[in-house]
Amino acid sequence: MVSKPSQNLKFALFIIIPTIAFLLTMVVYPLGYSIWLSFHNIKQFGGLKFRNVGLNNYIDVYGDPRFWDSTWVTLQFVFESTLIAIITGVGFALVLSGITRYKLILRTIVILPWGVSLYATGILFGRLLRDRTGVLTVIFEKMGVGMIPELFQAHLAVHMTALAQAWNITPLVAFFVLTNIETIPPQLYHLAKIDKLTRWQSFWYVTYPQIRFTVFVLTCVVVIFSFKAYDLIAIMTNGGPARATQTLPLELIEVSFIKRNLGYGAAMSVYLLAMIIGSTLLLYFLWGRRAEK
Amino acid sequence: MTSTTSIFRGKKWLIAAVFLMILWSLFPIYWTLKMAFQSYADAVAYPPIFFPSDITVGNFLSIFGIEYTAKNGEVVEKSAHASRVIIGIKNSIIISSLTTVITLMFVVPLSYLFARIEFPHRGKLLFAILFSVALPPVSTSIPYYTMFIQTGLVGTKTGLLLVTLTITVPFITWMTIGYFKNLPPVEKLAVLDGYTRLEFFFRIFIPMAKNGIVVAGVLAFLFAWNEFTYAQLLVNGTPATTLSSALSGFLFMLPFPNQLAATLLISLLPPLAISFLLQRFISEMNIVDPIR
Repeated sequence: MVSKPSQNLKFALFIIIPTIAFLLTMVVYPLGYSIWLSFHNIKQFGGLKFRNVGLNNYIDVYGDPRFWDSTWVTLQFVFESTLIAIITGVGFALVLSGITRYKLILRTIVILPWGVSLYATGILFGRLLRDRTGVLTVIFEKMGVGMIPELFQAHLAVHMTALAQAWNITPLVAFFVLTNIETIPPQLYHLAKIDKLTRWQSFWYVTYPQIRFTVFVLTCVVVIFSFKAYDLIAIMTNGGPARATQTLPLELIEVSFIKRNLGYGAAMSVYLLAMIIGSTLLLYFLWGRRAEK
Repeated sequence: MTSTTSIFRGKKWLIAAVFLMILWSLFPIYWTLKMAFQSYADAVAYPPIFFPSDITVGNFLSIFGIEYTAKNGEVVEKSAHASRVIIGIKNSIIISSLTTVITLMFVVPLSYLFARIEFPHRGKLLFAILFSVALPPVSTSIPYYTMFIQTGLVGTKTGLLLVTLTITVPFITWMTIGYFKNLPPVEKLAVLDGYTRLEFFFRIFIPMAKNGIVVAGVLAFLFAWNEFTYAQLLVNGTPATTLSSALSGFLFMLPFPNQLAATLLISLLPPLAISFLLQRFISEMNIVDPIR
């Protein structure tokens, strides 16, 4: 416990090895297998037949317009859901830190969406926004507007899915930012008052520098979760209308499990993983590195 | 506290903001779940009914396979999915509970180690474990599928349990490290009192960290309970089906929105019930410290 770091290594390995062994079989091996598949062409005629095709799958995916369509949709989805989740999350944290009464009940209400699974979120928002079952329909009807608002048209649907994803993940952002805000020494705000900073200035010069790193980490988490999102979109729109919400995870499942093109799907999944890691690194170099201080 | 940290000018703005916050959080849940208490005719009525007046429990009876006669003499038949819903609930409880126990057995020692003990290559090993969080489930689904066919794990609870653990173990480790780090440093005192490492861990550390461990367990349960992608792929339509994959039956086969809503409500009960506990303790967890 209080012994030298090098002496602790044995104890550490004793604890880590079961987990590492588990993750090696259940995460690293499948990942390696997936990468191996991506270099092969797989035929399914009574058992699987593998043929090494080198980089062909990668070249084919690169030249596939459907892949680039899906990439564009994915980036839109990730960008919007992250933006909404971070803004509402930080906003809610500020509201929650500012209230003095009904604290417990308000916090319980705000965390609720996080307990709702992503597939359930898909169902909820599908019904909430879709034409005939949607809430806008009722409002339009009450106001006497003679049309059914259709929010799931080609150019709107992706924003709706991003909104649903953001709704689900906002509590996570709100609560971790709130924790951080509560550790800011109140004296800083007194100084801000003496300096006659406006509320907005005091947020920008006092609060924000203190929560910057937390917001950065949470942004990475939301970005990763949004890139991975499958069930939410699959249930809400199933990629439609006309592939307007066909993000990469959906395209991947379609290619691999419906078109049975396993090698091609595997190559696509490597691109997706590269995008996830790439955008996290990009965020780190553009923002996180400075926020750390 | 006179809201020193708030950027909201005066009480009026704060009240408006609180109102919006409540609306944002609750309304999407309300809009669909109200149908759980509506009759079929009311649930599919156009335009949708904002506040249901006729409240019925028939949908809940019907998804549990019980026929029900409404007050007006109308018979609500049992749902065609009833058997799947019942099995699904049972399987979800089994898988989620096992996930919770096993995750904690992995995670508590692991987080303790990363949070409180200095050892060589600590950063690298931590990164290796957290890396799994970034893996998209769709990119491992193909290997799992082929692996599970070879080992006969497709359509079994064991298979789904193993896959769920790959999500919970790294993520819950990440969330508990910060909490464990911030507990009082009592190691030196324990050494003076002659405790061995194991004695310290079981008799001092675990009791000291119990709040965090409970929340970690609750989170693991939530993850397992809410898991859908793998369940859909690996156990849907088999005797190992979970509640989440049983739910999808209502989506694609039978257009009974009221029964869908009733099943959905049941699937949301455990998460909503524990969210009270979560909001109380989640602020003590920390997902930033382990990375800093």
